[in-house]
Amino acid sequence: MRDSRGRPPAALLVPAALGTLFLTLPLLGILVRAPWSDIGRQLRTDELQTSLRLSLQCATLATLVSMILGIPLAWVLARVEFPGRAVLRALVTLPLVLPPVVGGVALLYAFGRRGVLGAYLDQHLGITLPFTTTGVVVAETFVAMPFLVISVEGALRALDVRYEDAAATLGASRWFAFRHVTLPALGPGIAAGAVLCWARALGEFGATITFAGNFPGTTQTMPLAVYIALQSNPESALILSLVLLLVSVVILVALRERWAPGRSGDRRPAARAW
Amino acid sequence: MGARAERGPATGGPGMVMEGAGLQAHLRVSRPSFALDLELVVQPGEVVALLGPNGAGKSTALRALAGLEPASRSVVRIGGTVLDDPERRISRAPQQRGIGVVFQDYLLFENLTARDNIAFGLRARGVGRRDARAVADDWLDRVGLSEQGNSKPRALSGGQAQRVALARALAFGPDALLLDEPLAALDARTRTDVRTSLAKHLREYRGAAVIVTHDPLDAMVLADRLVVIENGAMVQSGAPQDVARRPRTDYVAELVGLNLLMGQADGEAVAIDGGGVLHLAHPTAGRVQVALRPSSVALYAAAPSGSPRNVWIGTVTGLEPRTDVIRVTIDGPPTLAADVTLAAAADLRLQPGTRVWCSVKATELEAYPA
Repeated sequence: MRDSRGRPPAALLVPAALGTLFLTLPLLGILVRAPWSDIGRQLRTDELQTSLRLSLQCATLATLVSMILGIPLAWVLARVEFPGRAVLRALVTLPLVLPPVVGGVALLYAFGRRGVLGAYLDQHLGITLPFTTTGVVVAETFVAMPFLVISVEGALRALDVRYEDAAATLGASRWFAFRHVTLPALGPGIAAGAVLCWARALGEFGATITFAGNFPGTTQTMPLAVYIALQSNPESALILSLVLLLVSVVILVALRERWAPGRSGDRRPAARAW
Repeated sequence: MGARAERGPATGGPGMVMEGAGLQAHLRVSRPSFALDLELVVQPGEVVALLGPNGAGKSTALRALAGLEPASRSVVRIGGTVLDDPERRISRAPQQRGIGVVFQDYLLFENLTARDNIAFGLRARGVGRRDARAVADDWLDRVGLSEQGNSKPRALSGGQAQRVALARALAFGPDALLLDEPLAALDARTRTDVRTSLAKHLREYRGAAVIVTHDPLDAMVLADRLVVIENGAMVQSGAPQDVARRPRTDYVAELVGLNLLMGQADGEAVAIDGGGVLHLAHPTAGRVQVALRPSSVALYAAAPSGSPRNVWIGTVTGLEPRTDVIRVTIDGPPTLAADVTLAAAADLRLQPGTRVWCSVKATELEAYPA
């Protein structure tokens, strides 16, 4: 590299190269071992089609629910000052670091038949969440929504609040300003957050299998299908993994477009004290 | 200071004065490192410029008027309506004040066209899309941008964006208009054009208008009255020509390009604070301020012969080239600045340390009670 400070030291380059190999070789493994000749037939099997459709549906629904609940939540975290805001933010983002299995257990004790809320839902409304497709959406939303909230809150904080001030001086209520000024400006942040959220929901395993179980056709999403197939039909597991890998690559490319520098193209002078 | 009588509105034509509302405010904002305490009265149709150095509190005053300053404990009234009164626990939110604001960097909504930016205030008040757009089109016409209605803010030049911002602030019929450094973001050429059109729209506006600026030219051209603030308080208020002739503080004197001296008058002689005596053309008495143009100070290598009564010897402390003169600072007493031509500066071999004779005619001195 053209670096006036001299060659990068081997003590850093060697581990960096090893790290690169470690991260890329397993993926190469999938590509090398995939049954390319048989791939067309395998992709058309009912099992794969069913779990793929279920995965896409559940991840998309979970993303929609996350947006409906998560965007207002992000707004409250970014724009409303109240005691305990830091605590609320920590609680909301806890699922980011919580082991998904623990999330699944927690969901069982909240929404399960014996759960705090679940018992009520079951007895009075006849709604059962665990081990249903709705349960899959619930589990995925629980794990994935924090990604959207964090992303949208960051975007909100990066917005110049003076635009909302300007809207207010023009007579806009906070709700009107949110819909007509804040939300449009937030578009890229919401899109990035939604893609992250969708990707996380698509890959969800631990909370889903704990809370919703593993029933083909109703709760067996792709990751669960991969896990099961690995024991009975490794070729099918490889194909399923290949599909998920492809989806991940597409998401990465989409996000890079979003995050490419210069998109926000800000020609305003730096904000002054007013 | 500031006890002089309010000037009536200079801009309102026949019948215009009755329609607009006046503004009365006692602005009080206190933050840990800064306090603003400013009484401001603006007649209907009057344009008042808040002038002051950076950090004086101009923008804070504007924010307080607009209801955007959380630390404000101000009393604000427009016409008969009380917008803020801490003692009566009245504090209207920005969206309920009916005050139009033109922000320094315009803050046009990037996702909306110029037309929809202008229509925004009416839409926010529940006016239907079609009616709001009709009003916006009318405003586009008035600010000379009928072709730009469908342009997004990004596609507008600085001058065009400024005019859209003005139209947006006026289109919903505000009771008062506030402008924060409306020309600061423009380059010199655009600035002259926009200043002219802004002056025209301000003359047509019937409510109270307050414009914040640090540019004396903008203030002189746009405003009927100047209010100069320093350190959060008013130091001078008056018609532009009065402020320009009789500055009250060093900041104002510097702004309008005058020397300002303070002294004790006794008849025609003024004993200047810090030493020296100047002679006036007309006798007066008591504490006075004396203003004089740097170009009225003549410099000589030897004692001048002839009539001037004000002659003293000084030492050059600095030389600064201006557009077509050299600004010479001279340690007296009295200490002041003189403007000489390049040729004169060369003739006199001026450099720091040079001893020169200074003279100024009595008729060049403007003395007024301090």
